[in-house]
Amino acid sequence: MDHKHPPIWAVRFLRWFCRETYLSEIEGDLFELYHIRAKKSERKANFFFVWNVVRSFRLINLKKNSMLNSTGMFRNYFKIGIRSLIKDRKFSFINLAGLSLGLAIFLAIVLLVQHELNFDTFHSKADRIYQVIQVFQNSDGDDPEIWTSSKLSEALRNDLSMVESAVSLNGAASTWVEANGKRFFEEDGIMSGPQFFEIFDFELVEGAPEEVMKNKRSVVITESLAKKYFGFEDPIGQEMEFRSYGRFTITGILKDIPANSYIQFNYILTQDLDVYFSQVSPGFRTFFLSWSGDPTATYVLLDDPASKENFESQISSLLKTYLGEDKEINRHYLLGLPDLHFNSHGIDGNINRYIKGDYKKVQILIGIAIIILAMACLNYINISTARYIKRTREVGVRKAMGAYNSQVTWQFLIESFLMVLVSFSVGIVLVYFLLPLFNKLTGIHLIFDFNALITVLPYFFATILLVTILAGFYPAFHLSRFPAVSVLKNLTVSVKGNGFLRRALVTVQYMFVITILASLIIVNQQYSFMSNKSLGFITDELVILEIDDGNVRNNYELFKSELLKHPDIKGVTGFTRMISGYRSGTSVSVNQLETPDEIVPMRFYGMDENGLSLLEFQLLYGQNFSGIHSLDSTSVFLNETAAEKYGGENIVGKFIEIEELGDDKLRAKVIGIVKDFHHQSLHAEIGPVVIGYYLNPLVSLDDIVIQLSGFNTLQTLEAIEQIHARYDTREMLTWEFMDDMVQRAYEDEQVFRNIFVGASILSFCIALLGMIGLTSYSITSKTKEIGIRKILGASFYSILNMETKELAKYLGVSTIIAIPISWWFTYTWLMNFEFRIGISPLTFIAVIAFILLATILVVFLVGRKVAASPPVEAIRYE
Amino acid sequence: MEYQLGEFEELVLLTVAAQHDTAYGVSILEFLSAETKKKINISAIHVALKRLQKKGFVNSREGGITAERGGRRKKYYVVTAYGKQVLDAQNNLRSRIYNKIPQISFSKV
Repeated sequence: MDHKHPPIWAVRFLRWFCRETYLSEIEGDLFELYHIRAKKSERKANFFFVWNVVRSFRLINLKKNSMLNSTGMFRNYFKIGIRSLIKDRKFSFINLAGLSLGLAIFLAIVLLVQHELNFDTFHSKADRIYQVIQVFQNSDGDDPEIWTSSKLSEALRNDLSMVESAVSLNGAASTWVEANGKRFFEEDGIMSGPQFFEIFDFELVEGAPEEVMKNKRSVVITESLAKKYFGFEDPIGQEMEFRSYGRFTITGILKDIPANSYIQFNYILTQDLDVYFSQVSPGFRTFFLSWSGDPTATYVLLDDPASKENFESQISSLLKTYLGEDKEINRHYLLGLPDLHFNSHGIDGNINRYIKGDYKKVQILIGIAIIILAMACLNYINISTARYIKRTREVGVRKAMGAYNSQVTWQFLIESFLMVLVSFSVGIVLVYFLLPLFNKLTGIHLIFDFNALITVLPYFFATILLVTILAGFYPAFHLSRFPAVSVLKNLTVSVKGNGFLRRALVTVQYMFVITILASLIIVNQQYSFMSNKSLGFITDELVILEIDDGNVRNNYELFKSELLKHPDIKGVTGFTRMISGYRSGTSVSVNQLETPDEIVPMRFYGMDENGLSLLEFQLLYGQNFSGIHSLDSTSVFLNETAAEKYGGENIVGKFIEIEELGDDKLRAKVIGIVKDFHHQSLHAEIGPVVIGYYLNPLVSLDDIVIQLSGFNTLQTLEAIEQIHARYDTREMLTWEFMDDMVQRAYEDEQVFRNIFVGASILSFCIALLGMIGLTSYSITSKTKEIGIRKILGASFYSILNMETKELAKYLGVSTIIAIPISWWFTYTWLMNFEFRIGISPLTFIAVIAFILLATILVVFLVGRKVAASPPVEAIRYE
Repeated sequence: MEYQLGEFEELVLLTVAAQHDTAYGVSILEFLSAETKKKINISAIHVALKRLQKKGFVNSREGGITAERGGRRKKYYVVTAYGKQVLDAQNNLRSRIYNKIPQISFSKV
């Protein structure tokens, strides 16, 4: 006999679950087998023993559990649980609905955050795809851009061993497209090479990835574009006519591009020289086709993410061989595709419309989500606890009938768990149905993605358990421990502890309401401040025409005078680029004539002689343009900020030199100083600006600004289109209202604002409901006390007064805690804005006043019933 | 005669009959593994034995204590008269049908 023994824990497990009548046989056999096996290998024998124990764990072998005898008791728990729910159906509903709603908002924000954090991860090779960034040098210093030479991708493919594939990519010009007898104006197209689908995994519904871009003059379109032109017909093999590029044959259909893709497009044209040239005048030949131009974005697929540094060190020598040894080489580096969304700030250029990610906003969103969930949970715990206080008598009876402490504990824990589980399930269903609404609000197309939810599942279960335990804590652990007699006798267990709990709950609830309401008001104040702030020039009733045609430019004066004949057009002016936060002016380097080395980077805008008066810029010094072209084209204004660099008003009458990078310097006379205006969004401070004449050697006329009378707007716009059509026979007129243009700079802010305002209004409602619920519980639980007071001679109002006073005390305490919290929160947020409102104490006073009023109202509504009822009833209560 | 007997149960019942009065869990397992050349788990045999006993095909008695068995008694199984009848009936059924197979050569596939 050897001394080997199978794993003791497995034996214990077997003995624990196995029915006594079977145990002897099973354990005996397992031991015998073990000893046979152990002669060969103990390890294997151990393993088989455990395996046999596991296999013996069958229903037929299980002990008849004592738990199974308590099904009757369980049924009773359920019955009582449901009855107590129905008894207070109003508050039960408030309670469960609040938790479900809070959870739904939390989940929706989680989906949004998931969306933001998973940009471009859907490409299977995402970790090896990089964007080539070229670092230009300008007057501000380093200027990284995504634009590179169109030759680069081919050279990389041929010459660098670690490059598996590379492709160049351009945005296509917005243009009219005709196909299947339909004609639409299309934006958001791209052009790329045949390697496109080697690198990226945009899903093709029709066509093979290696085939679709093989031939010249092929176009791959998305499903929604296909539907727009061809309905239910098969688009493959059909032709599309692109006004700017010519005819293309459809070779493939793409699934619509996921919203979390950096590269956004509706169609993709195969890139070739003809396509390049039809887009631009021959003068751009070198820019588009040689090593010295930078028209395209280049994407690289490396063999291994580790060879990134190797690539960056080899690329400069590669560029030297193509550009020539003597040329200055710009530094090139790689940025991983999934990193582009958050880490491309400061890098210029993007392909089509796309909003850069912002970690700070994601963090704030996560913060909001957590706050909302925490609030909904605490709210739930608060009201549940208040509700459980009422079930003291039930606990007493149960214990008198012989229930163990542990049975009472489990009863309430399980009840609490089921309630939380139901609310969570309802919450998930809610998100599913509310998501379309949420998408409308955010403008981001989110899908109800189970994969995204699975990642938060563990936290979810942890939350469910935590809420379960906390919500059920009071009855499960506190009530259950009191001796049956004292519970039955007193009915309100240890009045002292109970009162403290209630006070704490009410105070926390008030804190939430104050914090949320105050933050909501301050955030809204900032946004309305921004949309109402004067930019330093007028923006109302202005229409901006984008000029794309040389004929309109050359005949601007004629065009302008024809427009001015219309009775509803009050004024017309021309700009090289209309001032708006969403597009900035041309960046130039400026120096005084005497000091050519002291260069100041500035933004340049050109306008005609009507510009200043039409847009109501304030001229501080000097005079307007003369209207004589030859004189005006070398005259400029500076804004205050720019003038200060040269000693303020003394600069008027002196000469400066303006240089757009690489071009000849323009020598110009400063003829005046304009009061500072916001030429960028309100996030940015006002920088130095130089305003020249619209006819200048630097930039050409691009925007015509028309001031309307405000009457007959539609007819006037039609008239403008007709006049424009006489000058530009090629392209349709594109125009935009100035108001919309200004708002465009805040597009992504709008999304954030909608989410924030929506989420806080909802959570405010939850918190308010919770407050109402708790207040009324606080009053009803004192029914007896109120009755006694009335017998002793208290009046109706003195009782309400007493209640209000008590609640006001809690409100005072929570104010002290909540104000610093909400102040800190909003202050940090306001720091994001260069032009911001101050936080006014009035806001907090208004919030507190509002909540005090709400409290008095609740006390009156709830207390009325209690305080007005005959005292006898009150004393009999319970 | 009506009875329910699964394929594996039948094998176990046959083994119990063959190892008259000496059949217990491990012996049945070893016998069947050797005969069928298949891996069989002991718990499957336990379950089959319990079912056979419930149907009245086998009886059991407690044996002596041995050290290898961790101080547990063996449980010996014996086929009952009813169990033997079932085995006979099963055997008859099989051979009756078997004998109906025509004497021809079957195609190989």
